[in-house]
Amino acid sequence: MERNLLLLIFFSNILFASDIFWFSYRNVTRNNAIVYEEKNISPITISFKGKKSSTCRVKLNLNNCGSKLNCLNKNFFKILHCFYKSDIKITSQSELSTKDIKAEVELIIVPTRFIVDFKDDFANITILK
Amino acid sequence: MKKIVYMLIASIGVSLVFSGCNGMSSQDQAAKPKVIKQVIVQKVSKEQIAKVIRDEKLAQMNTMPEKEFVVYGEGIAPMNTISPAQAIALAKRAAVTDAYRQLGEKLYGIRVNAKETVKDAALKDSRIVTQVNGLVKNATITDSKYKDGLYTVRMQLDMSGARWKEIFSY
Repeated sequence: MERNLLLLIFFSNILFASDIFWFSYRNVTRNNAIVYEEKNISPITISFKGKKSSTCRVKLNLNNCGSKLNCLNKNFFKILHCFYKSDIKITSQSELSTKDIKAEVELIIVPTRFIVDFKDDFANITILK
Repeated sequence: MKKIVYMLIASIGVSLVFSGCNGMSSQDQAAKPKVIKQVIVQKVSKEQIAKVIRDEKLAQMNTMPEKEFVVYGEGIAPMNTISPAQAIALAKRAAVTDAYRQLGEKLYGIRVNAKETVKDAALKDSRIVTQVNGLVKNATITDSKYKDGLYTVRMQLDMSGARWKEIFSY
């Protein structure tokens, strides 16, 4: 019984304490002002061996926020610029009529895997492809 | 004197005779059968053809210069923010989104639909709808500034000519 519990803790630790995370972001702007935002960072639960594509360094201290996931979620907008170089999907529709102009743009950063490594008050983010 | 005149007449006569003979000889040549040219057919394998096409394509690609797309995205802060910092952050994100839209327009083009309604010979309504759909990779923000509530972002996308031609030229 004890052994099973320990094994369960061990495997769940492996599963959820992975260093690889998903990142995705979506926003909608109307007439050049943000009206909707959707952000997501979550750990990867299956192993992935991808190629490292680009690296980004952000000033972040892990000691202030506990777990890696918490830290990343708290400082989402600090690390956002690292992902602007990855795949970005754009959908735009603007309507110009005699009465008004309505321009709506939707930006989606497609879900991207990344590794984070905290060192010397900095977070090194490596995007995987 | 007479001798010289006779000599002249004789020489003209001789030259006329020879020129007449020349005409005859050219007619004779025309009467001869034509030589049939031989066409050599060389068998070429598919690999060789592919190699030639590939080499030509490469040579063409090497002559294409690097393409650079630059856009300036603009974003404004919404009115209902809790702090100026939040307003700036939101304006920046809006500016980045606008820059990406402009890059999408440059790379993929715009779909335009227009509709005009005329009643009693007078324009009643005019509506123009533009649409952009695209996927943008590797664009970089090279400059940004915030002034008078407007955030401006300079975005640049560098692409080799060959890659541009491969993806976007149509």
